[in-house]
Amino acid sequence: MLKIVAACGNGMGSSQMIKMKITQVFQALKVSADVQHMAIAEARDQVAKFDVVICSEALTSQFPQSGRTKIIGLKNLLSTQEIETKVRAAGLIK
Amino acid sequence: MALTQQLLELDSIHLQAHAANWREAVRIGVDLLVRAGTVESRYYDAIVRKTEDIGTWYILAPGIAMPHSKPEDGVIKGSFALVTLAEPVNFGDPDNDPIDILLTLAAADTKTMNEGAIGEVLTLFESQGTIDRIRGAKNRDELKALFESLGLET
Repeated sequence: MLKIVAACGNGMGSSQMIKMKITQVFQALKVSADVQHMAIAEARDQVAKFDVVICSEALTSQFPQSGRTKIIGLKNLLSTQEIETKVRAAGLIK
Repeated sequence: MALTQQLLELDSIHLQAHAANWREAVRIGVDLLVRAGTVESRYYDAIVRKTEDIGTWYILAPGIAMPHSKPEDGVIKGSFALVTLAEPVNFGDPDNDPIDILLTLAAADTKTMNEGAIGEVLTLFESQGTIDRIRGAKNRDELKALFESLGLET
């Protein structure tokens, strides 16, 4: 199962919103995913545990760009469209 | 209490406000909550400090920001404030600037308030039509009528 973490500045608020949207996308696609949310510092420390980190585009530079974990930055946190497009583009779903 | 109901009851609303820059814009929203007695003034400092540190992680979509910090940064009671600006300001987010709708969020604990509240935020900003009407609302009565027309609690 895909391990996803939604990250934001405080570990609540924005990351909970992103998590909700990710869950909606994966439910609609009928793909299993384990989605957590946390603050950026914790997500950074634990990055290797996850297949993908999804956060606001403003924060992507806080994560290592190489390494097996994919980092997806969102411009729009209200859109499931952007999440689905980027998750597909990253090769995470068929 | 539902988000929209709470905004009206606490009167934590300032429409068509004037702010010279993003800090002033954030300040207007936090001050509404300070006045309502739901956050301490230092909540503003926490938001600004973090923004200066890591950037604007709380911008939701073009024109819309949801400034917030952690419960321990001075939240007394879970609450929201809604600010719209007569002239939008830049927050430094090239994809979503300029911002003219700010929904300040203060959560007293990370679990209970947020899970319901976040869903309500998503409902409020679900349609571009609604967003534009919020943007253009001139006064509290107009906003109340808008919420009622959407079937949201007032």
